[in-house]
Amino acid sequence: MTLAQQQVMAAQLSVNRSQVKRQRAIRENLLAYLFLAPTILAIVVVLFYPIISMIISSFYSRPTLTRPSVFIGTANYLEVLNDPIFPQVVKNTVLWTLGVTFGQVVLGMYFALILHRRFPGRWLARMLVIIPWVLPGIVVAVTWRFMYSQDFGLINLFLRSIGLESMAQSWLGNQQTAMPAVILVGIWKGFGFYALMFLAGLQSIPTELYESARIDGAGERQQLRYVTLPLLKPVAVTSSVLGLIWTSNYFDAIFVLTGGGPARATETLPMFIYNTAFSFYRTEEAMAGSNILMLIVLLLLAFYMLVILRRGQGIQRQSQDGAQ
Amino acid sequence: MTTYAPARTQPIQEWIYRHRSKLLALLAFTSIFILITPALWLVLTSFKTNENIFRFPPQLFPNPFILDNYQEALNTGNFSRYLLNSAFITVTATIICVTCSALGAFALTFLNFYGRRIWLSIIVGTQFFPAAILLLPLFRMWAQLGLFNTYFSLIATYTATSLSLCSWLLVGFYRAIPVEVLDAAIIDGCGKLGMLWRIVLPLSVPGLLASAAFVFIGVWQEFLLAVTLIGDPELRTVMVGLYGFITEHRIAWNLLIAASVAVSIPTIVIFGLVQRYIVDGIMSGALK
Repeated sequence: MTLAQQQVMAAQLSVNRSQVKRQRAIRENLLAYLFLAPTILAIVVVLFYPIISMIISSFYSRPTLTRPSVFIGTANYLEVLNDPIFPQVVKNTVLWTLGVTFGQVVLGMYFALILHRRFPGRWLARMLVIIPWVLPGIVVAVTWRFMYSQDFGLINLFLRSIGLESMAQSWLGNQQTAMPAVILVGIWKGFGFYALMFLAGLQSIPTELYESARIDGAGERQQLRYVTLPLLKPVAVTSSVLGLIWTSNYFDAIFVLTGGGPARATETLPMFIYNTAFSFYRTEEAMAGSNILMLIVLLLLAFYMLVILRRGQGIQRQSQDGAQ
Repeated sequence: MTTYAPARTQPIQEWIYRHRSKLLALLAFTSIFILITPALWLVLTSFKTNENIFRFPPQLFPNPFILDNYQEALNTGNFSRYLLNSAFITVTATIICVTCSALGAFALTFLNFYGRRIWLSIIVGTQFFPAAILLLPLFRMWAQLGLFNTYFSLIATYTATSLSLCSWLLVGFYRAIPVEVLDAAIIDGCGKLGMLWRIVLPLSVPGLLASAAFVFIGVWQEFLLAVTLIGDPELRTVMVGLYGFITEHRIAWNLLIAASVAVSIPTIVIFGLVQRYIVDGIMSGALK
């Protein structure tokens, strides 16, 4: 075979190979989209379509019998923002979100640090600690409505039996105590999740670090301060940002415990949207409110991505330094 | 030289050091006991007679110990109907969701296709769209389509809202399959479909079960969408049924409490069975 013939054959082969490759790629693309079709379809139809149609409708007026819906720009948004109750709602939302997340992180950290140590019956303790998180949201609300009940709730019964009759009160019916009371329920529902996350975070800290800290003369408290907490910080930051998103939108407990009352003292933004839509039937304003809430979620999500990205770069830089 | 002796030779610290695992157990169980008292109280109360629930001073252990509350709650109104509704909706949504995500996650993990990263982030990202935002637009859409008040609307909604988390968990489980196994299959001439059917699915049975459990628990306990999208009392889910005990003129506490304990049992049992896998799944998803 001459060199020229060989070259021709090689060229033909490579053409064939690239054709086969392209066919295979097309087939793989088809297969992938076939597999993804149900998921994409469901998400687009049931999540994206309604949200987009809500964003559009929020710029239109409410249609009446005589007047069709017309474009009114940001009027619905201004209506929500100028609602006299809106500052109170924002305050409630911030209080609820920060209070619940902070409480959950602190309690979760406390239990993770205890449950990480070895002691008899640890498996049982680990299972019991997540019970509130596993309970259905409505059951949690029922539990606490019973606890807080004025006449026969466990809290008031306890206060009465130790002679603090005067402190016994309707915890959910009082404007001053309603918000702390629902925040306590929120913390109770979710701290087990943080305990799990932090526990897993603790387990990923290499034991060599503790050994070398001990050799350097670090006591228990110094190990906690200089090894455990700094290394747990990434898990803590990412899970609490996710927690902020989740908590600010969670209102099952408020819905069942107070419905936003008394005198709107526990009305957070999602509860406000629900009441505006389904109690006052001001749909367009409620949609504007939903979009404001969605904007807040997206901002928090962007912050979360930023945190993750920065952490990723940090890890890369560390590993590069290590390689050098 | 006493100055060089370790601090813990002092008697009290020595004692603490020696018994530290018992002390830790004491601390752990005391704190947990205080925290889960409300749940324990609910369970104890569910076995009490109605007059003992409202007695002062409170009765600690139910005496007489009765099961009547459970029986009566089950026979009150439509509660058994609600249980069936919930079971049907939850099982259907779980099966559809896990089937779709098992295929979708396979594509996202093992197939090279145009737009793979974008779809992955879109699908994972939708779990951050909370129910609070979706309630009103979904209510409007199902009403416009004439599907308000149907099982279909609720099942479709639950499937769509669970797909994200389910796919995410499954991608995590698929990625944990050792590369050597997959390489061996490819060398043996296994196609992509064969890889899914013969390797990936059989090896991911624990992952599939864990994802199914997660979806099941999420759908079973969902309340806001159920109360918003279903108006017909016949079609209510069990959680809305529970809420029905509250909104009525007078709260029937003994029935409400017994029913609450009863509907929590499936979630606790299922969670107990797959707890290990769920924790793994969350961690692999959250930390990667």
